[in-house]
Amino acid sequence: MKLDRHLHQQIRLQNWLFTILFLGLIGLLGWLSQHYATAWDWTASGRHTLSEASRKVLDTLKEPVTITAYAREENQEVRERIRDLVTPYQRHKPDLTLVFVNPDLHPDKVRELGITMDGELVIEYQGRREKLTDLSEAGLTNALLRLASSEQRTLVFVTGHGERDPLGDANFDLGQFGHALQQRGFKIETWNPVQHPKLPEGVTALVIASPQTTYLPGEVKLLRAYLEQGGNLWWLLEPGDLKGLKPLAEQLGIEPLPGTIVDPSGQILGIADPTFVLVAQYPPHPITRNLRNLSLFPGARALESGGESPFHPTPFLETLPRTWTETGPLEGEIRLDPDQGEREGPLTLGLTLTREFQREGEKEPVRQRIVVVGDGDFLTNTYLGNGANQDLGLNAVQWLTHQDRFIDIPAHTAPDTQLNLSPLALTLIAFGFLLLLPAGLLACGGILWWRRRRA
Amino acid sequence: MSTLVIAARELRSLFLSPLAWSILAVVQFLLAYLFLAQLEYFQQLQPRLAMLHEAPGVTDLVVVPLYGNAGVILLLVTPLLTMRLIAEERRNRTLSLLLGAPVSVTEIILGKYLGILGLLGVMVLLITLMPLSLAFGTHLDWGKLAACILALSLLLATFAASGLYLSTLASQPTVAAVGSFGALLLLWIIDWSAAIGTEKGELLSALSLLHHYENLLKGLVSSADLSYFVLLIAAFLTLSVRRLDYDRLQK
Repeated sequence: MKLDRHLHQQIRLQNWLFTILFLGLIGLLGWLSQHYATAWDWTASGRHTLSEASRKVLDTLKEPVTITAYAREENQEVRERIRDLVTPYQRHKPDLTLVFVNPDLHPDKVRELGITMDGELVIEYQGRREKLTDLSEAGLTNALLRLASSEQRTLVFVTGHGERDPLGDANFDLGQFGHALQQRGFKIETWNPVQHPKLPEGVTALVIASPQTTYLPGEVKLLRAYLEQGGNLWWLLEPGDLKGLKPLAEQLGIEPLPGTIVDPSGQILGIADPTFVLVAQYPPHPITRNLRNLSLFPGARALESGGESPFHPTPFLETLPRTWTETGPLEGEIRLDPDQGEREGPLTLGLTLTREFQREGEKEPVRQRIVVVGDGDFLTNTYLGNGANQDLGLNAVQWLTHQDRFIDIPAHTAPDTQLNLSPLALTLIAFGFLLLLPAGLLACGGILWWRRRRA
Repeated sequence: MSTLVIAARELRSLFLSPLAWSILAVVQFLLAYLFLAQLEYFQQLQPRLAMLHEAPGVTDLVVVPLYGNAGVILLLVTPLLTMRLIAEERRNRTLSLLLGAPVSVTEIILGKYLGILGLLGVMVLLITLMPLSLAFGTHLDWGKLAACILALSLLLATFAASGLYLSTLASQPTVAAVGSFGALLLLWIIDWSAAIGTEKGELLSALSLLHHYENLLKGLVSSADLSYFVLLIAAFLTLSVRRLDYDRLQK
């Protein structure tokens, strides 16, 4: 066959056309394969597979979830860990999006959300938010579980006696804590019993936050009736007079001890004021389950349980053994004085009270929950940022409003964390792979080359 | 049938040259050194692992890095093995003989490709002996090891296909080696761009060899990563066939 110039050109053109079309086809197949992918987890511990419990939680979330990870760009290791954690969730729920934000570029956002750690996650669902520092499947699944509950939970703060304002900005108010609760989907209301003797509708829990003036007997009666009917209550006390709420303490079967707790441990950490109480270890309780840090309680009073009451008390905050309740003036040198009725630690600083009873005409029994803490300062704008104070407060509210379901997810442990090789085996491995094998390969090559040269 | 004949001929000529043996020896030595260093690191770390939540094991800390290193080292080495495939035949004027023989171009390309795959298979086998030796001292994560072997095999098959294509383009073996090395390195580092996290970054990481290779090394075998390698191999082989066909027609 004779090829002329014209045919040459035609072949070249055909070739180009084929190459372009072919590469286009490969690109299209590539795009399709990246978008419609399935994956198989081959690891022994199922590291890339979600547990049954996590999948069930994801199934209850019908709307899109956004996870924003505040991690610096240069910290690729943390970003990689977050991606590995979230990807299995995305495979099960495609409308779960993960966004990385460099905290250095958005200081205002970081301040607003109270991000403290590189690698902290903010999970958003239906306008509610949860923050997460624990980068594990258990941590993320439980955060999603809390977000999944769409039931409106209302906290009602009693006002009219100089109580701390749940949304106020003053140092002694609870504004920052109140906003943190709102971000988690809690509704915050106030109630003045003098103005409206009837309690607002739909109260999930009532809060009495460190009153300054005395409650009227009629108001106390209202509160007692609320407790009798199974209402949840959070009561924050301060040292000194009970402001007319003694009948309430009697009803709950607790006795607030006189005096202020003094704690010499603060001085070791450079806190001059002896009334700063440090709590470093927590008794086992759902409220303190995930707390690792210290919490700080300025000017607190101790509580004691044991009076006659239908409630079952459980302490969840205890001071160190070297503390005591100081009844004298807090000036000059102070020391434990048992003759004055001062008590030696460990002292109970916070306790929960529970009761289960059958309300008339209802099938399910009522599970009543009450939290009493001998201090209100630890949640104020001044002290909220200290240690685990905020987490403690949030956990207490979550427990109080029955949002304390916790799913235990076993860790994905590798099967091979232990390696037991005898010194002999190690030597054999080292010599065999490093010297014998390469030398043998070289020798083979050499012999072949030599034989071929001779031939 | 003639595909296998060509493959056997290719494999024989590879193993008769000192090049293949010395490459096998050097790669084995380097990887053994890195493997032992990683093993020593693990033994230092071992007491602390017990206290870690979701602690990684031997497979994660020794085996996966070994295959990661193998990927990098073989990226440098495979072009040396593949450069001669067609380019040398062309330089020695034996290509026209081969093209004139009663075999199709597809058979020539597939035969040459299978030949080089045979050699690379020996390489994967030699590397895999090292993690297998650890099985005497621990319960290895076999699934993850299998994923690593699969990942390295696919990666080397991709390297070989690209080397073969570059060899059909070049008239000098060294040019083929340099070209193939450059192309592979570009595919390797393409996702190092600062655009990661944006849409452009996603496209770049979807194109990146390293990204797909590391995904497989994690033990998560995704059809997206598998098809990336398969498509790349198919593309290079088809282009090689077209290129030789075109050569034959233009003669």
